[in-house]
Amino acid sequence: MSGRPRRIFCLTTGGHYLYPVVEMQAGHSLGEFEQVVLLAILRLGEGAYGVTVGAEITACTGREPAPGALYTTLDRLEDKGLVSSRMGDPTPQRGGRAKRYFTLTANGLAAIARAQQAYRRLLEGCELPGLDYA
Amino acid sequence: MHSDHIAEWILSLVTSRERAVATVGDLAERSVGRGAVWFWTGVSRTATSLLWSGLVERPARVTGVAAACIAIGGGIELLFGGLAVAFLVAAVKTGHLLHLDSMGWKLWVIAPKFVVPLLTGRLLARWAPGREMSACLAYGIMCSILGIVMMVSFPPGNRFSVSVDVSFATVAPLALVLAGAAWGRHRRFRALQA
Repeated sequence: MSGRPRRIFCLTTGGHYLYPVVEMQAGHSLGEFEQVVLLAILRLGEGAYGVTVGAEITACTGREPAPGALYTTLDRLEDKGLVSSRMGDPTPQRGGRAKRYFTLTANGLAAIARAQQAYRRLLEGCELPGLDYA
Repeated sequence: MHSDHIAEWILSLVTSRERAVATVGDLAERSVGRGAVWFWTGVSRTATSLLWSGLVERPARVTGVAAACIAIGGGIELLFGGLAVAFLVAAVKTGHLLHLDSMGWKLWVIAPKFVVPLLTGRLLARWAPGREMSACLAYGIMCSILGIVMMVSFPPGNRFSVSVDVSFATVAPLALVLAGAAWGRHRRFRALQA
């Protein structure tokens, strides 16, 4: 998306006031779990499908993602054009079902890079216990 | 071994057939050593999550479709009801009350109870392609809200409480609406494959 920032209206949950919000950045904004899934797909490369993505997230974050959250997020990311999927060959271990492999698209890569840059800018100058970041 | 085909069918109601098959394959692979309960919990949570996301990602579109279908279904029910009342009055005036025992009259009264919900489901499927079940969910929620509002507005015992009955008559049985939507979704996929 480009051009003027869009003016959108939000309803606060507390006071029920309508107030204008100017969208700060063009492009896709990513939720935390969407970023986690995109990074897991990026780390796995060619071998990223539902099971390995879930296992990678568990290994890196210590949290096992709920199947509902994982597959909904994967579908949403594909619908947004941030990841693409292709079907692999059917395997007998899965009852003859094919695996659905995911890869990041150029838009997905740009979105995750933008989100991580924002995190880095926020972290600059912060001192967090156990995090050596300058 | 799980009843994988049932799981595929359930998931294919809320996502594409291809995605449903791959997801069931993943869940079957992950459930090795965890048992059937884990598998079915995963299937139900995935289906619920996809169903809900279909509603929250396009709320205006889905609720608009549901509201339109409630209005159309209610209108058809009222039309049938009005014609039935007119026929009843005519039968009383002309003294041909025997007609009220005929099969045609019974069909006229009963058929809308089955046909209107099915057609409502088909309409939901036509106007919310890809989000048929989410539209049904929105339809169910809106019907429930409408029913509660009508019940509060016209409590039993009120001389206008007949309005409540009319309102509930327009709230079609959700099972038939779901069947109609699933039918419409199935037809759409068959048309896409052809």
